[in-house]
Amino acid sequence: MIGPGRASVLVSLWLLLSCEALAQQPVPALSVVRPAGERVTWRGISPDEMAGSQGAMFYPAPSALGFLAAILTHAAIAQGSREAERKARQQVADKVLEPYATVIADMVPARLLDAALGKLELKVRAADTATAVDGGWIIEMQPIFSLAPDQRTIVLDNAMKLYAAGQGDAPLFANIVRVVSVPRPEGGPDAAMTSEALLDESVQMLAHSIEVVVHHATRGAQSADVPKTQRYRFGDGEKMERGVPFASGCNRVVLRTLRDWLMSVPVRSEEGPGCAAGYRIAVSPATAAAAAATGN
Amino acid sequence: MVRSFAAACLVVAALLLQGCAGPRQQPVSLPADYFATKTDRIAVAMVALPKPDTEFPGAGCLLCLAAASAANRQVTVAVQAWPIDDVRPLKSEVAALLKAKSQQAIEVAEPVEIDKIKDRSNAELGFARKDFSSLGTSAGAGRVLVIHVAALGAWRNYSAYIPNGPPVAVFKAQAYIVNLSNHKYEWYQEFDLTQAAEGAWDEPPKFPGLTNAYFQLIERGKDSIKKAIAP
Repeated sequence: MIGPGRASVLVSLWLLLSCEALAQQPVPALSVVRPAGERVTWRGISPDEMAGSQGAMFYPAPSALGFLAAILTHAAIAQGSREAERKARQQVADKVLEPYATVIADMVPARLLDAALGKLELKVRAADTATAVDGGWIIEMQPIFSLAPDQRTIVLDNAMKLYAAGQGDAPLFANIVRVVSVPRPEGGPDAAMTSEALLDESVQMLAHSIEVVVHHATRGAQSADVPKTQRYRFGDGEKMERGVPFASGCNRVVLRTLRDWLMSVPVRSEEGPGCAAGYRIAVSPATAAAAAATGN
Repeated sequence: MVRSFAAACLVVAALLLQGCAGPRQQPVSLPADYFATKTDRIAVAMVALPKPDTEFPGAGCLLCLAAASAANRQVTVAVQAWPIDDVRPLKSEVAALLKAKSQQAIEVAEPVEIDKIKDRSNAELGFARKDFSSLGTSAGAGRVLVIHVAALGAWRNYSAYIPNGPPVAVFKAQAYIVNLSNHKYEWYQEFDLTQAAEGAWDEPPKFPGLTNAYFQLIERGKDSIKKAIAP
């Protein structure tokens, strides 16, 4: 015997799941254009960047006559000074990459993509140019990897464009897809980042970025998009990002940020379902929560 | 004659300015065994939250302030639209922390209108300036923990007409425990946090980088207050 209250909950859940299923469109034939270049870009993450702080400049108050000159001088000096400071900081931060110089030097973008496609459950073809693709969806990308100062976390910022063949001027997505790796365990046997681990993680993260952008393009419009400040793991600590979570899986949440980036971040195990594979996304958190509430 | 008049003016101005700047309450640390030794009821109150806004410290003269306000008009519009909903759960979260420390914590349901609470006469440093007795009476408590978020929004430092850098999100708060039998602070701490936008900040009209920094800072601010109570 099902009471009217429970029946309405079940009907709502069925409608919710139906809407999800309807919204999730099938993926057309998918081709990924091999990124150009001879070497994948890597950079170190500076401590300032980790803390989210920026330097400030101090100027004496200008006289009334020197007002305009002061503003112009300030703009020029500030820009030049900050750029010089930024370059100096980046050079220091890049020292974290020195132990991995050999593997990074051998990391050719096209080869990395071919390895990533092998990790995907989606059927994806690689193409050398977009013009060589005769239909379906096309992805173009330019990945940049960053390594945290403690060498435990990798961040991929992949500039991606997804569009239907022949409609490159009306892309389904054209922005950054950021993937943050799970921090390597501290003190355990897998604690130290090795060149092999760096390469393997890079391949998985690149594959995951493709999965994320395709998932986002096929999910369609959702009515229950509620922004939240998502906490996520970063080294020993925690970072936050404001956005709309739209998928989860493998102790990971994928959200659309305020800049309309897509961001896949690792969360603590109690916040999402875990799995053996490193990077996999499942249903939206709303659907997962609804299913969990009914024990399905 | 003119010199002595100018000197007199300076003295008067100095006295007036001194009168404006009252002595500042110094932090009162929370003893490690505080919650083990105190067993009476404690009310948990939060002062009505401020509306997020911009400020331009250092733009001292009227014309400087007008120029800074005009130059940052778009960011001010965005900041004034920032929601404060994420701050509100802090009171319940603090009450839950106290209960986890075996305290009889009672939440004061309504936000405290701090300006409507009467000042205590001859309040000294180390004692609350406001008379919080009514909060304790309604909750049947001998102590009150007050969370006062005084400023939210984005501030941009200026040197007269010139910005010293980009605007940063700000979270300024005080949290304190007042013994209602004598209004002495049993704990007093200020929280003055800022957060810069990641990457570019000048992204009108929504300023997503700075807005993200604001929400990050709210979480950091709440964490800081909770960690001060339960390290």
